[in-house]
Amino acid sequence: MSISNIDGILQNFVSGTADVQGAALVSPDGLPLASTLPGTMDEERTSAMCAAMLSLGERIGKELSRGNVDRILVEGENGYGILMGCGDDAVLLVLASKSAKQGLLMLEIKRAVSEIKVALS
Amino acid sequence: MEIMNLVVTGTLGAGKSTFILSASEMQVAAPDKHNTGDEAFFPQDTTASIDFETLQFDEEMAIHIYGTPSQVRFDFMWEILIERAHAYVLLIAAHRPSEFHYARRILNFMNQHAQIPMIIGITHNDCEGAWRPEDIALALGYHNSTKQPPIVAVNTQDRASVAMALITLMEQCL
Amino acid sequence: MQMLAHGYLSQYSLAEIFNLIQEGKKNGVLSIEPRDGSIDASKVAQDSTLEIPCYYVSFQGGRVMSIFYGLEYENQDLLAMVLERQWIPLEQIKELKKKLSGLTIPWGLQLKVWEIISVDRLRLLFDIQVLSQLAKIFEISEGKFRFDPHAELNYPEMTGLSLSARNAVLLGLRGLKDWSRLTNKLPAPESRLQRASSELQGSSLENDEQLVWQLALGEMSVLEIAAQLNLEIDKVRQIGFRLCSIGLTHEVAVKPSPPIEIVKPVCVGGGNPNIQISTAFVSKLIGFLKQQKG
Ligand SMILES: Nc1nc2c(ncn2[C@@H]2O[C@H](COP(=O)(O)OP(=O)(O)OP(=O)(O)O)[C@@H](O)[C@H]2O)c(=O)[nH]1
Ligand SMILES: [Mg+2]
Repeated sequence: MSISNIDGILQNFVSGTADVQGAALVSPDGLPLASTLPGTMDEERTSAMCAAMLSLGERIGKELSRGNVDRILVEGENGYGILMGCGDDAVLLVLASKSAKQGLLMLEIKRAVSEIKVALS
Repeated sequence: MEIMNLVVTGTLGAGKSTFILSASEMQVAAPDKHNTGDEAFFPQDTTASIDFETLQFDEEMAIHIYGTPSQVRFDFMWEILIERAHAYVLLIAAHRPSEFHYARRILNFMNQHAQIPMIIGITHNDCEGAWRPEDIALALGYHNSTKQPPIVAVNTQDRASVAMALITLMEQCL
Repeated sequence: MQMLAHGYLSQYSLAEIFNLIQEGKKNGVLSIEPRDGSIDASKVAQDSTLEIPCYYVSFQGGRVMSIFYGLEYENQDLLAMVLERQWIPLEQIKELKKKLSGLTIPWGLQLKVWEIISVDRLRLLFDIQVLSQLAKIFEISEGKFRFDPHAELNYPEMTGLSLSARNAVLLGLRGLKDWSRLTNKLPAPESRLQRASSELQGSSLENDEQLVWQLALGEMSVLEIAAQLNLEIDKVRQIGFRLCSIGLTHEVAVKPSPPIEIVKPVCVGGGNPNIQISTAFVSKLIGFLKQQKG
């Protein structure tokens, strides 16, 4: 797996999508694979938290019979944090500002996810 | 970056959060982590979610330390954490014998889910009514000292004491 | 990719070079020096020191970041492009330059995240830097190329937008006006097209391309595909050439062969790949902890 390749895809996604402020790709055991996050964020910590959050989300999905978890959305005062699985080997974290249109954003995220999946395979 | 995942589990109020904080404070040049809004995520007194701290002791090496919540209703978190742990510490408050059976439950659960290096740390040794470590070992069902994991007394508020406990754990990993 | 370091376009087509760069996920700058009708050959013969403008294509991780045309490789400074369009006053540009210098991410991306440049404007700059140049380099029929894998990344010129080398080939060949020099390279009308993979591999196909790809099962000839889709035969041959150039299909010349079964790689691990911790790690940690005991 080439990380620089994924970096390019993430940068292309962040540069080309309105209201997106950063993105990172994280392994399921919480290690950063690639990231374009705002400078103030600690990649390692963020990655570990994302992985923990996704597996917790999956538990919730199972416990509440919601089926497989598609994405996890954190909506805060200042914007969104979205986690989306990228196959078995990675999780995509996307940070977006409050002004983002959710539907459009999801569409763009899905497009990025499919591109990342190809790059990872 | 090589990263080892450590889990700190134990009984209610045993000192898990304190242990993790002390460990993370060993960091050479500790970045100020506590202005990152963690408080909202990980409440201070009793831990409802997970504790999480990192200890980077080398440019390319770090440990990630996860603390389990101790209330039974959060036991689903144990599984998530133990599945990816490389080693774990079980903390037991020496002065709360009523919690010992619960400690035993945690122990059974962890052993079923992962055969990984571990130690038992006995805390609150300085408190009223604290049991002696060897008595606690018996209460946990270790009647035969050859099969028992290392049991150490630890003061979680003291960095040196936490370091000692971690050294014992690491010796189990070699 | 040593053999690729330099050569002539008569040996390797641009599409082949781009594919190798994509496969190898290479970083570096590919320079292309045209030696065809676009320059005056007699002048070059007389004066061997005459400098010829080249195209410089920068790649990062097998993706096209920018294309520059000129005598010598130069940065296409984004801030200069912004200033030229008067999107931001000079004073602010100066300040931004200070804030940006030293950052190790594309400047365009940072400006976009700071909400100083909109996505639309950033895309325009990328169009100028890359898309408008792409068709031109695929028009080049003869020339020299050289790949310098040690070229450094130029953050001040990067928008952050990029294009996979594969999609760049697709776009470049789509924009091609003169197909005459390629006529003998297009798939023959009676040959068949066979998919090389069961998936699109991240290529963004246009509608007609997608339709041709769907029929590329090794059973129908190019002629039959054209008839079925009600498209001109030349158009289908060109589409076939594009799909073959990016490795999505290949041409089966004579007899039909049974469709190839694509075996997907098995995913190892899957559940719980407990990464092993090295002894060096444990020893180092013990050493560190011993210092803590004081
Ligand atoms: N005397 C003494 N007090 C301790 C020791 N370890 C922790 N404490 C105190 O015990 C209290 C509980 O400690 P925590 O670290 O929050 O314990 P915890 O295991 O995270 O608690 P829960 O999350 O509620 O399960 C705090 O007031 C600590 O200061 C110890 O070894 N000795
Ligand atoms: Mg706690």
